[in-house]
Amino acid sequence: MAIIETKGLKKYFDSVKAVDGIDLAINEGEMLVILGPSGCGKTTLMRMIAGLEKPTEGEIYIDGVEVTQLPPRNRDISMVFQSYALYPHMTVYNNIAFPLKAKKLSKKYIKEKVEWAAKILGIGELLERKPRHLSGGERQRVALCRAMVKEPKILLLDEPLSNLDAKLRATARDELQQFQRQLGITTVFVTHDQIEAMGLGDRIVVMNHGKVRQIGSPEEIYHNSNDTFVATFLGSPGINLIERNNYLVGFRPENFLPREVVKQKKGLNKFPLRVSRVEHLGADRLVYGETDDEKGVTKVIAKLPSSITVLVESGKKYDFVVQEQHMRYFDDQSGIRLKVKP
Amino acid sequence: MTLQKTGVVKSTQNKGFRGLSDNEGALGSLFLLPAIIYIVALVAVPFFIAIAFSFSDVTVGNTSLNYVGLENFARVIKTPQFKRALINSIGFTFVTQVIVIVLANILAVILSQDFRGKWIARMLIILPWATPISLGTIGWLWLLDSKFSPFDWFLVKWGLLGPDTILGPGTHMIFLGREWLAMASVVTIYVWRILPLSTVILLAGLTSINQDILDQAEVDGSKFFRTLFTIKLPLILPIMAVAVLFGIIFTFTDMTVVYILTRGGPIYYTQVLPVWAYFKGIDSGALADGAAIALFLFPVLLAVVILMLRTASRTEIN
Repeated sequence: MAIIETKGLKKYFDSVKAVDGIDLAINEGEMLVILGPSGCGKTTLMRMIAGLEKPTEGEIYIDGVEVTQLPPRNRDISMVFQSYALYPHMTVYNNIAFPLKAKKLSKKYIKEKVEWAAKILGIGELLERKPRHLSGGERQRVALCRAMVKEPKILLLDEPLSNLDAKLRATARDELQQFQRQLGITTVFVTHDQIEAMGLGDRIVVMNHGKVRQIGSPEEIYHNSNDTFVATFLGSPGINLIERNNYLVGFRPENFLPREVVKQKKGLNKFPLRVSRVEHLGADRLVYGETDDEKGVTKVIAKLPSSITVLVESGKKYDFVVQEQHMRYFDDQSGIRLKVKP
Repeated sequence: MTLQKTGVVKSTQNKGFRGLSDNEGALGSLFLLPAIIYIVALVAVPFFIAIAFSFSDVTVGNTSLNYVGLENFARVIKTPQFKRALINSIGFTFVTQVIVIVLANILAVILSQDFRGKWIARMLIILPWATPISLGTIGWLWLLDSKFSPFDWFLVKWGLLGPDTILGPGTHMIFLGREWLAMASVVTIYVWRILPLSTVILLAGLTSINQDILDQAEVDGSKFFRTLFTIKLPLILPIMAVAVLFGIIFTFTDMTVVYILTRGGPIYYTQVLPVWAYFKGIDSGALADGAAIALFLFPVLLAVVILMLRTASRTEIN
């Protein structure tokens, strides 16, 4: 059963349609990632679920109860902001205890709860410190601790990893996932980082211009993208698109390989590639080039893992191929994926 | 050709100025100079003259400076006028600040909310600060007039003043003619005067609080008063301190209000240090006594300035 449901949710700021009609059903216990470029409305959507923003139109249900007009405190949710928003004048203990104090629970109960939560996140040592004496990773844990301490039905996370440096982010992602699995708490995670989204999400909602473009598992949205926006937004680099008569051909850079590497003989789509530049990234090589067809020249990128050692040099021309099962076709007007080859 | 020549001539003419504008050290000193002249001529010199006067027997009639040690201080301290002025200066300042900080917080919280006509309310609140203090005080002088005070008229109309009433039997309060009422009047005008500044300072503090923190508090289930007392006010505490310190300086050193409103009266019950120093030093020509009285302001102001600089350097707005 869906624990959060939105129906026709809209939020307009004057003439800007931040969120433009969203129907979403979030399942109990899942980690749902809302992914999209900045300004796509993902944070606004989350703030409406939290109750910090009143929708222009539409309804929100939490656990079957309509909460559209309710303030955040009556929604049984917690939220972690991108900035962590720790109360700077309070110790870590008081920060974590704040949501419980607001509920006017007994001191003894609060103490037990705070210590329980601090233990789960391994910050028992930090309870007497002030936020300004904490590292980025510690702040993030304190924020998470404060969010879980009242054991809400729903945890909302607004880009909680983007303030961490790259190395820390990988471990934090891992910890976050373990933490979420351990508590089994329904989590909505907003991010613009596709690696985070793919790594964390049970399901991913891809948004653009206030609308949902696709909902699905990481594999689904990556391999079977609904439209050209999702296909180009996901993957680094994104999908290659080549215009044909009245449709678009798409294939991922990692499926675009030199002819001699592919053993298969049948079902190959050949694309002659004039290489303009080769980037060595350690684990793989990015080959930038152009391919010709009847409509003219198109820029494409191939991503070759380091296990493929075939010599590829800039300025030369090679035969590259894509296996048929990796080919995707899109409508050239709407960008929507065509299920069958035209 | 001609054009080129003019260009060349121009650039050589500008060379002296350009040389200076590239020399940061010389330029820095040049820009600092007006400030240094101002501070030396209008602050440092008068301050040291006041110290010199206070240890001498100088008067308006006899300008020769003869060292008399602490004689002036010993003499002025003994007078009941001085004792009362010292107590009043400290007392008025303290009471004013307590009232101002409470009212300014309330006003700032109200003004930080969204409501229609907010900018008109903000403008009205700042108005007393924009009015020349002497004009404002003269206005109050009329409002508190012993015969024509509109407050008397209201009190009579509401049945609070007059025969057989709480405040009766007379029909005039004579605000400035009775010890406690006169003191209350002075404090009221100080509050009226300082409140706008404190409100604006606190308002700036409240609006500078990170919106994320306030959103977080809302998500954490905190209601209006909990957020106000456990988050907003503690966060603007340093700013509040600045507002209070400013208020102390403005009230403690003010002579306009008392000078215009009561001239220290009735008798000397509302006398304050600056006015008493002025009466002694300038009106009666006893420059040395006046200087000695005025120097009693110094320790308080010094303490306030030190506190203010320390708060300012510590303040961090999140």
